[in-house]
Amino acid sequence: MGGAVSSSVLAGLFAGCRATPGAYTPQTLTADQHELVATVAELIIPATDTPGARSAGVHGFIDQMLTRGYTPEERDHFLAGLADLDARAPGGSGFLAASPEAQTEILTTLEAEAREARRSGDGPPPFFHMMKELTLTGYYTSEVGATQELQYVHVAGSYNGDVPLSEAGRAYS
Amino acid sequence: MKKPVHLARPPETYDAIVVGSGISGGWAAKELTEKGLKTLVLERGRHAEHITDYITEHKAPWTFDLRGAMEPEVAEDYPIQLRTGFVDETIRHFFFKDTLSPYVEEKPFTWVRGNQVGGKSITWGRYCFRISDLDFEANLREGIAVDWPIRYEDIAPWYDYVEAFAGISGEKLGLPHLPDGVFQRPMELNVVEKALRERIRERYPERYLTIARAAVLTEPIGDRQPCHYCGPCWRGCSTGSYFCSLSSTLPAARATGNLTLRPDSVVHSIIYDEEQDRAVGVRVVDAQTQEMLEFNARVIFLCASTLGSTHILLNSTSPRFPNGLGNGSGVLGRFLMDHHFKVGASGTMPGFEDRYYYGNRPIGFYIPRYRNISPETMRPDFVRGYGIEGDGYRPSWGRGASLDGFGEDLKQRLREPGPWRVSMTGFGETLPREENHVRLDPDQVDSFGIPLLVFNCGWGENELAMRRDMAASMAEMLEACGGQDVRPYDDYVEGEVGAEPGLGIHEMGTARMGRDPKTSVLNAHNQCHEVPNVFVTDGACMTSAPCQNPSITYMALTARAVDYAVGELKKMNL
Repeated sequence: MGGAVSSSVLAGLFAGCRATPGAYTPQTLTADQHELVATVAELIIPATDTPGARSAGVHGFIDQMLTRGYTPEERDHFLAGLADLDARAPGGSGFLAASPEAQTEILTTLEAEAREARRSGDGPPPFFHMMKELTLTGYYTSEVGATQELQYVHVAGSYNGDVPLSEAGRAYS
Repeated sequence: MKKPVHLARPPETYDAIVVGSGISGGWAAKELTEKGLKTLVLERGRHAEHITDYITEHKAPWTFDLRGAMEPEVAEDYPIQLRTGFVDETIRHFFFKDTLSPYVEEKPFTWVRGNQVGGKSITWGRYCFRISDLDFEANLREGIAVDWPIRYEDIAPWYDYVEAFAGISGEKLGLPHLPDGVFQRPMELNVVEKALRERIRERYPERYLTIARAAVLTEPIGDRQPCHYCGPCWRGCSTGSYFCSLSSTLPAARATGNLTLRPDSVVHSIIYDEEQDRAVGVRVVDAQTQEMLEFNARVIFLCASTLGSTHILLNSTSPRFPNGLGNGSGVLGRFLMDHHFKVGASGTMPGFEDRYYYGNRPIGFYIPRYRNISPETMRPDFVRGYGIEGDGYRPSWGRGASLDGFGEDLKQRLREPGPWRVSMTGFGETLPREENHVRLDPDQVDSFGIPLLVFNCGWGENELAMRRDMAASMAEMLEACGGQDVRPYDDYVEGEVGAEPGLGIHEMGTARMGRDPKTSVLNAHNQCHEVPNVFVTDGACMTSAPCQNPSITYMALTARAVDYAVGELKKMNL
């Protein structure tokens, strides 16, 4: 991980994209792994006209799940998959050093492999499926994802069973 | 074997004791106190109060670190409750820690239990359907088990009574096999459900689709407010918008000044006095101090939930009743039933892509039983029938994991709701069978010194044949009404969990009502044949398990039994 580019440079490169200074300190992931997870999550749910996974703190949620929500076996399986993803970067320089195109290609390949693995049956869930599900859950249950990207209807007050979609706008979170 | 009793302090005496504070216990408390009886309610679980104990009500998902997931070490305490698929970090505080009071499964049985004042009335499904003479007469007509000692006309006025107090919203249909009740304005079906309803009426004259009849208010009752459509009722509702002991019956009981509520009180057994030939009280193990206490009363109502009440009766042994109090018949613990479910069908419903809804409606639709309700609908392959619970909805971001792709395209797709889907699940009647039973473990006791309950209960041929029809019929109905990509499902796996007994959380029987003391525990007034000052009014009393969601029936039977008991007390018959 890291390779030719030092962690401190990486930290500087990405500091501007971090949510706030003094934000979440990972408890299971190393700082480098945390950054890697943030990058992959942002590729899955990027910033568009609304913030993406990084701003929503998805990498912090994933670290929480690894620390408190998973068994040791599930955690090790995820971390092994993360290392495997990182090792696929061209030239052995690590995922973070790869171009956006190369990164997308790695994820596309991982998704195809995951689809095939699921089709052929048992075993633990493929890393890419874990990562995608964690990202979607972490994003769409975050305040950013639930209230800005989708609609968070907290206390509706009433029920209307027939609303034009154009009026309703976005899906409810 | 009788445990030696060392009392912590002299017994306290009341007019009435109610064991349990849930759906039926709350009603017994209200009715007894309102009729002037000094009433002690003993609840085995912790104290809980309306509003203050709804600790996750309205909490946004991002306020849970793991967004509702449970930590593995915590989950180890709830292996049974977790089988339901819906007990998670947001509501586990309302459920029993299985490790605290285990039981023995000779065959899989999922025993779902509450553990606080209010019991399962905090987390229940809220659907309420009356049972009819089609149900009350079925055992007699078919020569199965024993005849119910009551008919619809005996319970109808009591359904009226409890429905008016609880507040049931629903639509009248005029169906003899699903009698109409005292209803508030029904909640609204959505656009797809309305279309499905019309298509069903066109194709199947004996079938109806209606909004579920539910104990969720659409109109105020006292200071209880109509539903505000926030979604998860089961977290507790501070506006009292659904029926729950905490918001409804217990406050009414408290208002009389006659209520004493004692949580952390595990009832060990009923005290039977041979000389007086009556029950005189109960023995309680204090859950906090482990002290053994006694409380005396003239009349005792067991409302501890189906298996809770039977457990107490089985453990109340004496020379007169060596096999459990009131068990001269030998049927105590036997004829255990539940609704079998987790079988049905789902599919997409095209043609409504430009329609959506607004608000989190807490209930879905219901299709009343249409099998074996008339000469034309008789089946060759099974008796009795099933009701269908369903929902029309548009999946949200949760479908994203099964969609291909990632990045901007995926995000844009998930900004829109998914295609309309309709899902249906049936709740099927289970026949009463003697071999389906619970009994006391001869060797093992729990941390309160009470013998563990051993379960041996399984589905029979009638249930399995019914399930084959349920899945096929719901799939056929969806397809005939415009559904696409329709898939039937049946989660039942013999000998394993999936659709095992208990999962329906409508467990009933084991202390059945009947006309003959030789073949039943209770008479037509829920009164123990052999111990007239003991009444059992929760699901244990059920002589059969009609497919209708049963809680409103327990409420009605409880109110009716209290009325009878108080009348008998006044006549000095008890």
